[in-house]
Amino acid sequence: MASGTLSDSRFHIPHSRFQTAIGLLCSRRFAAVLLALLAALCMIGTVVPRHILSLPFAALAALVALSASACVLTRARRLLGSRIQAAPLGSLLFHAGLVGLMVAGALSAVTREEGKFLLTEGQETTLGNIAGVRLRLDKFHAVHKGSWGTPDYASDLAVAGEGQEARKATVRVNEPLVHRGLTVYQTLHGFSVLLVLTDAQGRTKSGSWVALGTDLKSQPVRYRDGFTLPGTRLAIEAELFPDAVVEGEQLASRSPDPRNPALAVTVRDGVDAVYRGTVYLGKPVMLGNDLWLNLAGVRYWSGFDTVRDRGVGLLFASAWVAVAGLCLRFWPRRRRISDC
Amino acid sequence: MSIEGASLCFWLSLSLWVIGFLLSLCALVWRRERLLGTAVVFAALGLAPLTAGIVVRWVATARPPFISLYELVIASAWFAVATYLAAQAAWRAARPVAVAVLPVAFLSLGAALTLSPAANPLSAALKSWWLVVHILFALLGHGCFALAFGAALLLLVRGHDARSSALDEISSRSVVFGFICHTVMILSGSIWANNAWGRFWGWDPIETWSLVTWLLYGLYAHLRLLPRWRGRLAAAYAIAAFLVVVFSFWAVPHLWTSMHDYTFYSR
Repeated sequence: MASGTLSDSRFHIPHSRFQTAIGLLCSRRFAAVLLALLAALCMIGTVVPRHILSLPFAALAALVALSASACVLTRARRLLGSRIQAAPLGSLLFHAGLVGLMVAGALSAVTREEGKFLLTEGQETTLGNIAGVRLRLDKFHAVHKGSWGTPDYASDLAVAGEGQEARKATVRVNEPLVHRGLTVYQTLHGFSVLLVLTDAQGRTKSGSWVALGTDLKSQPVRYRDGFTLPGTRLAIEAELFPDAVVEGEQLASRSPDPRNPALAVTVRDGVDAVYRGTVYLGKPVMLGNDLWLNLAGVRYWSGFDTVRDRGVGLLFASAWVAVAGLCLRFWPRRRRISDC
Repeated sequence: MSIEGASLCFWLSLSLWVIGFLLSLCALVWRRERLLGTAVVFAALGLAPLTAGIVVRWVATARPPFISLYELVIASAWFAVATYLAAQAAWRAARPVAVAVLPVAFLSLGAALTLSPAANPLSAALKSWWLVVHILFALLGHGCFALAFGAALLLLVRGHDARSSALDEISSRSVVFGFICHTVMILSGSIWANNAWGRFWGWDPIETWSLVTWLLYGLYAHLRLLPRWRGRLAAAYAIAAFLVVVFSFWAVPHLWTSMHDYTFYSR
């Protein structure tokens, strides 16, 4: 491959359709039309379902990237041939940053991997698809009113590869964990209950942790779900009151902290309800047929999203290049504004 | 002073700015330069109780008071007037812009005072210093766009006179500074969203309309480089673009459900 600068005569191409196309791509009028179209498409996109516009938007964004790239090349060529000045350099950096942003956006769209899981305190799982790496939730902390009046929810995690010492980390909403290119974000939290079903002789028929759903739409937040008790035919509808108190004839919760957990349950065997009432922690209730249901434990669960996005680094680097370019481009020249 | 006391401060600012506006209007109609100077004094005086009210609210809520729509609209009025005051200190030709900027500020305050001043609890995601950067640059950008709008409106209303080119330059420079602030606002929001939720862009209606605003002012920057896009044409464009800013800020949160929904922060 021939080496040399872009200003070398070797790079001069005779006037051709290619040059006309480059000229058009670099023109301010063309850029203005593209920006106007992109703005119009974004406006329409807020009222029309997004999938209808995704193809024209992608095509237009590609054209903008092409136009900005052509602009970068011609500006770079011009800059190399002259003394470097702040404004043209700024313009070059800004447009290069824009191209980088679009490339990063495309890279992100193509390579992004996402996952979701939830862990009850003490549980562990494989992290993403990284072979041999396990993630365990040691403890979940909930402080409902911390500084700035915001709640503080934190998950103490332990990450370990096979035969490796566990790395401890605390994850919060704005403080994700990054492990070997995979980022773990804390999302929701709620409660898991350990329901144990025993027969009259005390033999365990079923016993496992069940994560109850968190209903954020209700105020206060409610923790409830419907599920089949593992290993049985019993269908259960349950709502947990973490800090239970009886108000009138209604069960309520004094706070979201698990100080006095109680589970309001309806247990069905087929279509027949075999029990409807409240189960307090460690106080089994008889369902009939000599079966006893015990709320043997309550723990927090914490929900996580995992993301591997190869475009993010380039995206933010390009964005800062674009900002630096903007500042250089419009660095205040000492031209005064005259009063009249 | 309580949060209710802070509301009284806002009413006081509103009154002072109305007086400042009337003075600037008289100054322009009867061409009295001294009245314009008094209008600037009233604009500055109005800023003092508003600043006090914002500080009181900050202390009372123990968090930056830029979260609810009520707080944001009040802060945007503060930034519009503060930007104007800074501009008129730098460029004497910016003084008459008070006649357009002060109505933007007192109408914003008036609109804010129709909203609930309740300080709702915040979600955990909002506890980030990126919030401060994001909102600070958003408000600074809005202040600059309001100044650009004011200069452009004055240019259009007064017709071609000796001050036209100065107003054109003030409008253009304000747009440029606002555009840079708006870019930093979008970028800091992206970094924050990526930290909190693992996505840097989500096509949320407010995100989308802030991109529309960015594209429209980017378009302005390109058009300024073309012949004919100076003076009245550029002024008309700056006014139209500011209407989009107002729509994005005021109407979009009411029209669409959004992650930026200012009432949905109790999670």
